Amino acid sequence: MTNRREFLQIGLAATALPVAGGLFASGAEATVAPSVPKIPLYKVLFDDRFAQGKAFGDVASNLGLACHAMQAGDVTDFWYHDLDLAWRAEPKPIAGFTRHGPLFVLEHFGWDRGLRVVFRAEHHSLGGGVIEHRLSGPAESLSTAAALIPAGNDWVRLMAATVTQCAVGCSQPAERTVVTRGAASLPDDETFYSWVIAPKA
Amino acid sequence: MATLPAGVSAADFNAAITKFKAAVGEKHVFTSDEDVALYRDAYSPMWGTPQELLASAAVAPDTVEQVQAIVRAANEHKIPLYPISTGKNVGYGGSAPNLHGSVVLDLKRMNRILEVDDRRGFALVEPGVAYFDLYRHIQEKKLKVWIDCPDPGWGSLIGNSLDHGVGYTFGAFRDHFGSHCGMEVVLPNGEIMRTGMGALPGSKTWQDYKYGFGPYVDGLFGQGNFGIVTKMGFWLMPEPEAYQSGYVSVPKRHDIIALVDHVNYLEHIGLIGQPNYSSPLGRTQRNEPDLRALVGKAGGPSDEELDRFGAAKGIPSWEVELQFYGPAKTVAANWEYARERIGASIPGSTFRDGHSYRFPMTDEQKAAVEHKVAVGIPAMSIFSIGARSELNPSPTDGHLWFAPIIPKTGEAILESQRAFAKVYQEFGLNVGGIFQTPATWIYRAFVMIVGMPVSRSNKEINAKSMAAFKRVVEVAAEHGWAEYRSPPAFADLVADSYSYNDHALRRFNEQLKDAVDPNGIIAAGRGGIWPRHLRGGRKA
Repeated sequence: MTNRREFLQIGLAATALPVAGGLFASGAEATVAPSVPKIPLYKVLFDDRFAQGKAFGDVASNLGLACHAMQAGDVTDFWYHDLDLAWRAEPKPIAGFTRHGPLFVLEHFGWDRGLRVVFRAEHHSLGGGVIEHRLSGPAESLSTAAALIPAGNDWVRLMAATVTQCAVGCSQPAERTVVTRGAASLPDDETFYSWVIAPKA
Repeated sequence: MATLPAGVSAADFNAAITKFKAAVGEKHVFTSDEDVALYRDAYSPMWGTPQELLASAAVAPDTVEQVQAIVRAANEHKIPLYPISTGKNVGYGGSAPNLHGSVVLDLKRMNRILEVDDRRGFALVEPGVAYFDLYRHIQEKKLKVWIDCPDPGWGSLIGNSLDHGVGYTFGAFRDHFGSHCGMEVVLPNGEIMRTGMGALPGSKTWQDYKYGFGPYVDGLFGQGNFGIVTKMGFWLMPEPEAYQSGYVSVPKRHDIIALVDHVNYLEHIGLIGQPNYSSPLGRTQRNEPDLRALVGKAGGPSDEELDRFGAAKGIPSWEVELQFYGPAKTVAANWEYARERIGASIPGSTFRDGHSYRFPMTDEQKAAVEHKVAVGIPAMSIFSIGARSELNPSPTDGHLWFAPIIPKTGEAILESQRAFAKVYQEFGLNVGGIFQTPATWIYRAFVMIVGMPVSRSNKEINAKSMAAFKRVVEVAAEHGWAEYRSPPAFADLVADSYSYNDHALRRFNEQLKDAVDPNGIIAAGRGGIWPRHLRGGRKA
């Protein structure tokens, strides 16, 4: 039966990614200037099926942030046992590194509670270790975008640091596209997202 | 600047907005581009084009009295309203209106669970109550009832049922509109009406007996636009003691005919819940180039050729998962009966056990269930699927569901596979095909549902999907089949196919519409029903 689930599943690409060495090069933590207020994050969500997701989660954890590793890319457990209850009390900001589905779900749930995606980066492989990153968010946060380029494989760590220190209340949202090159790559047919969902200004 | 409804002046629109603000409070009326953009249809095939159906504003009341005030103001200034519950019906239009420029009446703040009775097995809820919400309530109160929810489970019980949405557990509970009992409705003139036994003041049976006395009017509010539902009762399944699934495989293509007859008997006599059909032979296409070549040859393969291929490889043509609910002794006995009945009838049929559960479950047990909706647990895991493929080139941009109803027979499955496959091939869509099996949510019919791709960046994909959609609606009608749900873009087309006796059904609906909603303020175009002043613009 080509039911709803099978329609979405046919052609599912291999999800195993090579674990890149040197992912945690030093010096890739400085992002937004200390004087700029940062969004206080309730939790950071990441997809632990992917090396990049785990690396993202490690950075967030090292920064002292509470993290949630999604099992099998499924946001249900996080929503039902955690975020739904948290958001009933107060619309708390969250961040994450996921594929499109969880971001789509949490963005729509967030709309119901007065939250918006305030920072979004799409990471898409162009093949041969080349990854295109399309960023939109506070201009203060995007100023770090240029640093992605020399970061190479370290882009995940830099992105995690950027996202988890996202500037509050942007007056001028900006967009920027950068391309990184490194040995490790994302699956060619997948787009990944780094994002922040926060109460609308 | 707001997208004004056709025929509405800026002065009237602004006056209505002022009255909406007075009714609900300024912070619950949304007119900024940023806020109104949230009501776009995320899966619209017309995204970003002049044809995209957009709201002009949105208003979110919290009480029935506020809904009444909004309706009165809308009548006064002739403002078209488009009620939504939680607006999560992506694939069928989401929260976008049928009429461009309508004001979305967002009912999600009305989210009270008014009553749940696990002795009589019902719940009474407001539109903003999502399946997750009712599930949480039942778990927290340790009530002995289940919800039956769609997949994903983030939508509203009222919203889903009013669109004839469906689920995954037992019998008539899967028919969400069919398993409702009693409504409260704000009519287009602002009056409150209660249906069924609710029309008796102080009724104690509003959620026990559906029909009340006289004509059963509830159906007018399902896929209709005769009022705004503000409360609805639903029958809930008692929590069973046990669940057992089992798989039945049959070797030949035409075995599907006898298999469906047996499964129908098991279901209609109350022994099984939703049966899930699939084709093991069809699934092997990915790894069998010879099979792909056979399927793709000019004129297609004959059933005999496919039978020979399957026999040579030892792969059955069809498989069905049977799901048994009830006391542990009876589910085991019913599965045994099913094996004996089918085994005696279909040569070469084989059987294997599936999953077995006992209830209530611990949280760890619930987490381990693969197909959670089959045991009344809502989930969002369907959104974790969605890799790009030829079938689904822009998964993040969504899809259009084409969902035709066919008779609940094996013959209809075989006939519709080939009839629809011709259309899909004509438009270069890699959907459906001769191994397609039906969705079985609907208790007494099959749905040969396919998803057609949508893209925000590739207009050719959208044009192809929309053209294919139109053609396949025509082909379905030629065979006596029709869609049961539709996104707004195709509502007129689908409604037009229900043309018996010079569209007598539509003409009847229009007479009712003119009488009940003369200003045409409620959900213009929904179900293909337009108010008088807009009938000339009907798209079909």
